[in-house]
Amino acid sequence: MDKISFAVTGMNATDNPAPGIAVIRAIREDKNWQGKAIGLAYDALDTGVYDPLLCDRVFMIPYAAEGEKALLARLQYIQEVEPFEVLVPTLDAELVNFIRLRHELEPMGIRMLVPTEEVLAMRSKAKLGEFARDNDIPFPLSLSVLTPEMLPDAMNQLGVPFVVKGCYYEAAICHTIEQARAAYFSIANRWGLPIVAQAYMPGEEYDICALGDADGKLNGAVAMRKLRLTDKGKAWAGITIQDEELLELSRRVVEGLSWTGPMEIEFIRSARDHRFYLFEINPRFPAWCYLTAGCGLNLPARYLRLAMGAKVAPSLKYTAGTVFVRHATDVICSLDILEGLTTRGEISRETGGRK
Amino acid sequence: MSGIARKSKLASIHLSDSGFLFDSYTGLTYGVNETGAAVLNGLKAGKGVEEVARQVAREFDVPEPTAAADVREFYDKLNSEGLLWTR
Repeated sequence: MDKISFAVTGMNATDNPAPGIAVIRAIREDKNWQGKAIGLAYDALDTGVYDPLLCDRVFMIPYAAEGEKALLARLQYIQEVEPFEVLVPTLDAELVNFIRLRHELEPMGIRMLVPTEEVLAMRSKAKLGEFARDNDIPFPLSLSVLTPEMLPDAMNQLGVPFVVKGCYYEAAICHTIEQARAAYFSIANRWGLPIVAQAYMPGEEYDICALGDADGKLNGAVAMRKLRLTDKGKAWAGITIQDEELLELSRRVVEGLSWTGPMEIEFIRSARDHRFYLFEINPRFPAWCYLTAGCGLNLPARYLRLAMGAKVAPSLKYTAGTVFVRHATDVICSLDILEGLTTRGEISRETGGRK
Repeated sequence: MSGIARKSKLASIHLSDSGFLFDSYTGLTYGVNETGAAVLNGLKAGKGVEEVARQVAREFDVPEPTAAADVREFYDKLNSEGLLWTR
């Protein structure tokens, strides 16, 4: 492979880890890859930028709320001082800005694998039920909630307990209308409207990391059963599995949407009828995507090649029974790193953190 | 709904020498004892329940009717755990 430098967002790995670190680790694991890894951070204390083995260079970028013009200006600067070929956005809330910039970024030599804005909207939590119904994919009953006054009716329709979910992140299992109201305000204040109220479905959770090519065809997918969850429901340990039905459903999701780029598809195998129910699609790599490199189907490395226009044969071959366990550790660094990020908004590992 | 027919899962069941069992369809893990491992290995090799029972009777020096009842009970347990067939 020629040298391909890439930039990745989502560098903050707390108890709700962003996927950028896993993406970089996976690509670095690819023996054929050469180039530089550039971390794009929203905050000087994004944890991943302090790991000396991850990024060759780090640049601060403006928050998504500042809009695509501010982001474009910053990317133009970065491309001048540290050129890169591929960009991997990994956060839900930023994705629209990157999609809107696609036609400005391509002439600059920056390639991405992202869906169109219309396709992105089709998988939103508010519209997912409609998509699932149209594509014959089992889906728990879900209702869009725009005001707290709609909650009692939602509870009547869904029964108790039911789940109150944010449009980007967070969900709460609610047993009473008081709990539902509290969850509504808490989640809406953080992530905005609409809120989704969904029937609670007990069962085993399964996650798929999938990658759609430029034509919206499935290029690869890895299925994982969560072994351990955090109190936010995030996978803290998992094991790869091979279930043809699950992978076929994932193909139906990717190709039903004509999805280009990575996605995380979440299913529950119902304890009641043992069927897989789709319950969420996240439009990005999951934070556990390093597992795809570990089990032999390195999806971030495939992203890089597909983004560069290379032919990559689709594959669902990987080793079932590969385990990941996440663990938190401390990274020690000099003051130079913090200084560079807070004063200049950038650091280079080649110069020990100094520009 | 899925269009995928129910099929045997035995080939995809990983069983180690220590009796650690991994169902690659569900990600669930189990522990089985020496007799259980012998039964599972027999089934994975394509033997029927009766043949496996005779083998267990010989290998573990137990009367054939006892082995037959125990192997059948274990087979039913595997089935109820969803380890024999895709759902």
